Amino acid sequence: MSTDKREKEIVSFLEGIVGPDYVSTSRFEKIKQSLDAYPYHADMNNLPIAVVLPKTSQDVSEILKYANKEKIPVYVRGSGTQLIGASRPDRPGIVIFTSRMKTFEIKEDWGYFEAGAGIRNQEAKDLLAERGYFLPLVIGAKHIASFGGATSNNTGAHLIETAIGKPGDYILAVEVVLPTGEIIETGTHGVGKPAGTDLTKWFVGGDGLFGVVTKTRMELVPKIQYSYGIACFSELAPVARGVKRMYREQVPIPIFTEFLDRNVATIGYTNKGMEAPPGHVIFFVSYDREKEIADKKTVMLMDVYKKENPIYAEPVTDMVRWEKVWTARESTIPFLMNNLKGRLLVCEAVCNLATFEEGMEEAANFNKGVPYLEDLTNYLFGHIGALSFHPSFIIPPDLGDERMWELSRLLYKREAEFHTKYGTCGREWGQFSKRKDFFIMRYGQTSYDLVKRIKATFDPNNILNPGVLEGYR
Amino acid sequence: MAEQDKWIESLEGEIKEWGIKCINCNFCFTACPLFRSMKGFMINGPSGLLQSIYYALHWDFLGKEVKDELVNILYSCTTCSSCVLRCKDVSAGIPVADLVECGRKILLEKALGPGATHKEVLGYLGKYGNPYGKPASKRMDWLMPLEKENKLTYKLLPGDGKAETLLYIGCTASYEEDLQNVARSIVLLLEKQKANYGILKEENCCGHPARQLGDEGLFGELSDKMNEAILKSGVKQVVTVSPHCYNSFKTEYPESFKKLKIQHYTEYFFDQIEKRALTPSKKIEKMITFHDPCYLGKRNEIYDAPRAIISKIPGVKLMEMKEIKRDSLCCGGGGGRMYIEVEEVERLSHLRLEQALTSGAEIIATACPWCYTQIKDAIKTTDHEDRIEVKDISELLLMSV
Repeated sequence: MSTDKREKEIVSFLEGIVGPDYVSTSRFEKIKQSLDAYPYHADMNNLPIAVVLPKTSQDVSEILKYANKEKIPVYVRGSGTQLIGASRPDRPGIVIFTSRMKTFEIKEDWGYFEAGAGIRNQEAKDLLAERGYFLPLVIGAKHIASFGGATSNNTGAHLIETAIGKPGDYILAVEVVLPTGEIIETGTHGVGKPAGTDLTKWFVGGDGLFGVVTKTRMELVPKIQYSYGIACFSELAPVARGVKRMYREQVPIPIFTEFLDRNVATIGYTNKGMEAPPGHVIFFVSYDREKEIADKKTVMLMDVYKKENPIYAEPVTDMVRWEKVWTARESTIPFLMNNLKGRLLVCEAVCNLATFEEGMEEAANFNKGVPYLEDLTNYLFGHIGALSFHPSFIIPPDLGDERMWELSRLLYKREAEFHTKYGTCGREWGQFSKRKDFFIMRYGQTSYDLVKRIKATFDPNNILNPGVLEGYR
Repeated sequence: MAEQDKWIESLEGEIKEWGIKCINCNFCFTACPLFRSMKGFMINGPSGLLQSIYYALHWDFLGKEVKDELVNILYSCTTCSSCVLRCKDVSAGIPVADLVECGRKILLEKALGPGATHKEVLGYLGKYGNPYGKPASKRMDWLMPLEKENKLTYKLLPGDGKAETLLYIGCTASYEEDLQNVARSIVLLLEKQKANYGILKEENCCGHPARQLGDEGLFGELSDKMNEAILKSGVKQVVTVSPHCYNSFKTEYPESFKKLKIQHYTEYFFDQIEKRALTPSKKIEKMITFHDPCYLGKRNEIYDAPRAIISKIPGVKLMEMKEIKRDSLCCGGGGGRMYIEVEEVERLSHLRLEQALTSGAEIIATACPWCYTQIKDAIKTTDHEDRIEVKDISELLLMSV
């Protein structure tokens, strides 16, 4: 059968499932669905065949049954905001975009809520807040990240994971469509997670390899109160020691402790109309059900950091000032990209607690010895409380796409070496795609082959998100 | 290389430069009214729009094959700028709305766009100086009912002596029956304030719709004419009825023009209230919500003056909607969409009306002729005329002074 005829058949089938309005063969839609949050080009010769917007799990099931029978690759995208290439279709197939799967129900009598795959993080947060609940899924991409994607990634990564746990710790159950088309429900309607075998675990943080999460059931968590603080240090080492103290002296762990090196802080503060800080800055958010207790926790933290002789360490009660500090970091990257007229390359560098000073120092010199990157400024910021940093580089615009691609590979190789050295791993963006080599380096070929065998059990024809497990795309 | 080719090349350069800087984080999508109102495909979100025109240029397939599709994608944008604010706040700072306009200019210059209705609008602008195809001779008709009942003190400029302030009416308030009352209200407020003001004898479109539709040449013609006429009139300041004209004067006109003090009427009357030249004193016992016009708020950061005027009217209770100021939901009328039908799953004006109803307001106040039209239409088509009405702030203020 000719490619054209086959493609027409596929489109016609999809239209039969969801209606012609929700199937697109637009070249521009295909291009956009081939991009993720990294500045690479779509591949003209490997665009998807069609993009489909299912409404229900049944729609997804029908699509997967067909795709499995016909051995058509299927890529599932929630918001396409991934950073390691895992949501990039790299061969002609069907893209399932979950933007219409927006069911959301708070079941207070049952103690949980259920979110469809297409519900955005911020939407869920707002809807829960209206009823006095806190969403224990706090991610940088809150504006757009979908529930299906965030569940499949089990992402969080900030100190909140240490303080209250990963999103998966609150996920009671998922509804999943298997690559072969069957719909299953895992977990429980109770308020606690099952002991023993719980199929939920294969899909929460499963990198989208084993099934399509169409609904997530999550515990209702009462609203928490916040308290804020800032500390400023002249050197990096005492910052690292302060964070270590936080863990070792058993003070209540805040939900955020963020870091801006002097360079980034100066840019961020200036952008927000504040005077540049005299050194490196950390700022944190303590929490509790009671505001008074949250404030006490801030004081306790302050006392710990004061042992490392900061330039200052103080609570913040002026919310206008806090908002400026909090958004100072977010404003830095756009500022740099605009002023240096370049493109962004960013990765994760996660340290361990025992050797945190060394790890932090190395993160600050992340580009040392890396060809080309060595000559660029490393704008260092990150979730220091979680011992995690984002070495970031602004790449000049005249660098060609091929070279950019090569630099990205070098950066991820460097990230792999870093994590292998410190026995850690990326916490925000999943484990495969650009990170496949790291997975093998860190956990060994046997572990990698095991994942492949598991994948084959769920997905015998390897139709679901093919390429993610295979490696760099 | 011909001047025109160089210009097109520079537009393409803009799109290529920014297109590659867009990191496709898609944070802009949830700020975008278009994405919210459409089926859910990514081409209907800001970075989807940008990547569409970017790839059309990058892969060099801008041509007949994808012409209609690209026209539909680019001309569906309301140019509200929500994405620009979001991107500036949390991502790469891409000026998507400007780039959409760049893309439209390229399509027009290459004779690939816009669509038939927009072409008709451009034709009207060229022929009659307004987008509605109404004769220029009828432009001042809105004033007739007032002149019958009042002794007005405005000066017709140039020729009628000197005036301090020029009231620039704009096309919609001049020609559209529903909106003519807004122009009349503003004139009566100026009279009450005893302003030394004038109206252009031969006003035409400021050029904003032409530029939005991608016709830079026509924008040049229209704006040159207004620039010259207004500068010649000798006024020191210009007060506009529409935020769109305001934005055009403020940001798109030559530097020499910007020496004039340019104000939207809400800013102007707020100043007059502060100076006690106008005093709202009659009670309006109503719950009123304010819909921020995008070209007043997001584009020019005028959020407070309209609210301050409403709040100064005795008896009024200002009820805020869920999404306001920087987060305000666009009514769907900008970006040239007033002239075409965009196939939405949920109409933006209906979504906005829903927010107003939820706020408990009895009146939706606004300060833009296009927003007014969109909201009025939404009230009518959803059968809420007995529950809520739309008023321009000038009408409310006039009722109170």
